[in-house]
Amino acid sequence: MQLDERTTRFDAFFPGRSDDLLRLLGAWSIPFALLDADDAILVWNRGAAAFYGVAEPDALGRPFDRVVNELAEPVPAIAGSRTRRYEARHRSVNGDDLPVMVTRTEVPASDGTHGAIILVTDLTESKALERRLARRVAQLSVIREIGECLQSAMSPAQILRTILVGATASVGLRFNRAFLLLVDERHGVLRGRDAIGPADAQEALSTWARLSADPKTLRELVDDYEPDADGPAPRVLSIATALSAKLDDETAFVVSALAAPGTIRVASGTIVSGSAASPGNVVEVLGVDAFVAVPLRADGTPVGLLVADNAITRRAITDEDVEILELMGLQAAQALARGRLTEQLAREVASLETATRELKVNQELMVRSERLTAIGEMAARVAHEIRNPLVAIGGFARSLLSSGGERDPATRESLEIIVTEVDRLEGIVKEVLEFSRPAPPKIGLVPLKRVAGEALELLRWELEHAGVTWRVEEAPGTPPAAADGDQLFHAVVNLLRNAVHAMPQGGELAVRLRGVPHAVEMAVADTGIGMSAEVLAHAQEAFYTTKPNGSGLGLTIASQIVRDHRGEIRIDSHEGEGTTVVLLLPAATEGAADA
Amino acid sequence: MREHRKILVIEDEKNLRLLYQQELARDGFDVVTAATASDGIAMFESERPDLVVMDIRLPGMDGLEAMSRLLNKHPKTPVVLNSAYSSYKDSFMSWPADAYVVKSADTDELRTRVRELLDSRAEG
Repeated sequence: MQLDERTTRFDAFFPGRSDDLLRLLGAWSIPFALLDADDAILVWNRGAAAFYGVAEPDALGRPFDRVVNELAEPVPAIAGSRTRRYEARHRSVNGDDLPVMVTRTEVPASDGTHGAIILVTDLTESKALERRLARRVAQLSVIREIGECLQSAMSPAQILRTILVGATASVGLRFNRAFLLLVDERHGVLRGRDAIGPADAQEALSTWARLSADPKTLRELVDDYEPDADGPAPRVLSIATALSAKLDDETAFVVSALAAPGTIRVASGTIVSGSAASPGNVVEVLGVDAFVAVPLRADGTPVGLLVADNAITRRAITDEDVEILELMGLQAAQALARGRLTEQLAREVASLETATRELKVNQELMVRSERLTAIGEMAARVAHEIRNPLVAIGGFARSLLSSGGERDPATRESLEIIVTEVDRLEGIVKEVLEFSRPAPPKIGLVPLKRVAGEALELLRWELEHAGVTWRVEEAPGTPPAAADGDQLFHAVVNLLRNAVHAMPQGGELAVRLRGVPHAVEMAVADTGIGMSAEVLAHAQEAFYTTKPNGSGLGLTIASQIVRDHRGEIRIDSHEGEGTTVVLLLPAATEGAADA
Repeated sequence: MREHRKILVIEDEKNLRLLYQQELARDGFDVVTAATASDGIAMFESERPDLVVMDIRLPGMDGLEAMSRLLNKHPKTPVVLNSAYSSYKDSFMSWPADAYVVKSADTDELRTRVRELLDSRAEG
């Protein structure tokens, strides 16, 4: 076909200025063709020639579909439209079937026929881009899923497992093996804590075959993952342990990687990105010369190091692999930091619960013992009141009998009955009194400082709550008391509690201990409201109280206990200045512990 | 029977005062009584008894305090504490007493202790 002829026929579509247009289209690098009504090629530009490897003279005049090897089924045209656009695969100059977008527009010619303009866009680049995008979306959704698993992980062990499963699962990041090292501040060690991965190719094949036969979601994998507790420890675990290093050993690769600003990549046994100490030892321990180490940081603080490799498949670690591992590392670090906080919080809550429980038990014991003591006190009072008239009744009856003044047998018999019945009643009174009396003290060597310390500890919450500061002062050479430790503790708690109640606005509580001749003295001094002379006079009586919720027994019990110890209790108080209660207890001397 | 010895009973319960007076008198003692600690101390000065039997819980002055006052002035006079309370038995304060008897309708123990104390005093 001659140029003149072409120009003439081209003119049928683009009247006038055909030469210029032809030159322009001809120089285009985008494949372009003009077909006539029979689909024969009228124009075949440089781009088309280059793309299909068919020179212009060989293409002109031939039907388009003979020149271009179109593989894909073209998408049907939209009815009524003059332009069709479809994706197809065209064999390119070097024999590859490349993805293309074909735009075919019908153009009317001046002679009433229709031709077509064909524009071919090479989609190879954008297809690749699309694939990368799709992969990235998939990876991000994996990261999101790992993130969700991490969020819901309840225990540190679960967090570790999620990170490792996420790094190695085929639905995760697809590394062959992953090792997790965690900072152990207390022991100054970066410790290999956990790892996942097959020991060798054989184990890898069987594991992967099992997993591909029964595909699982990431969450299922995490939940199902049960390391064989009875069997020998997996080889990866011993590798993880072998990776451990002391935190102050900066020559250790793992320690320097922990401090590195970013990920360290090692290929062919040398660091290819990032900076850290020589990886020689790690290469040896892992048995591979290519791996990646991601430092895990939470709020700028290093918490651990994640090491991953492809020891079985030897697949090269790509930029994408590293990027996604870093993304997961960010989440892992947050989860680990959160896990640590949770654990710490749980420990604190537990200790608080224990303290509360103990407080409650002690409180109950104290209330119970106060109530019992109250009942005992009441019984004792009644019994004592009964005892006096009984003595009078029985005493006179005996007197009448023994004086011999009464000789009438019936009267004597009546008197004997009175005597017998009074005996019985006195026996009951004695029993009640013995029952209501606290057990006699079990005397031992009791260091008062310890008693004071324990009593203060018991009341710590009340003291702190009231804003009371306290101190215990012991004079040099203060001897232990010869006392019943439990009873004395009870007495001291009552005294201290009174002192706290006397200082509702806070104050100072001092417990002073010193030895005096044959005795040991404990002075409990508060800076509280003090007592008036009248209150002071009644202070030791049972049920006497000035407190809205007091039992009126605290000081009574303390006095009773001190008296039972053959001790003394003295109270010195001034309204508005404070109260000092002084206990004098027998001092324990050598060998007197069991006295 | 020896010459009449004098016993001071300090007891706030009227009926018990009568009982102890009657019983001790029957044993051959001269008995004087007081209902309060302060009366008892005054009575001691006027009557100069050979022995004192006294309750601990007394109106006004406490029996233990009254006892220590008496003993300060007359350390040789035996004192028998006679109380409805057994709890004072082990108290520091009751130690100076020569005997401690828990009140009972059976006055045997009280009378025995009184006689023992007076006899040992007479011998000593």
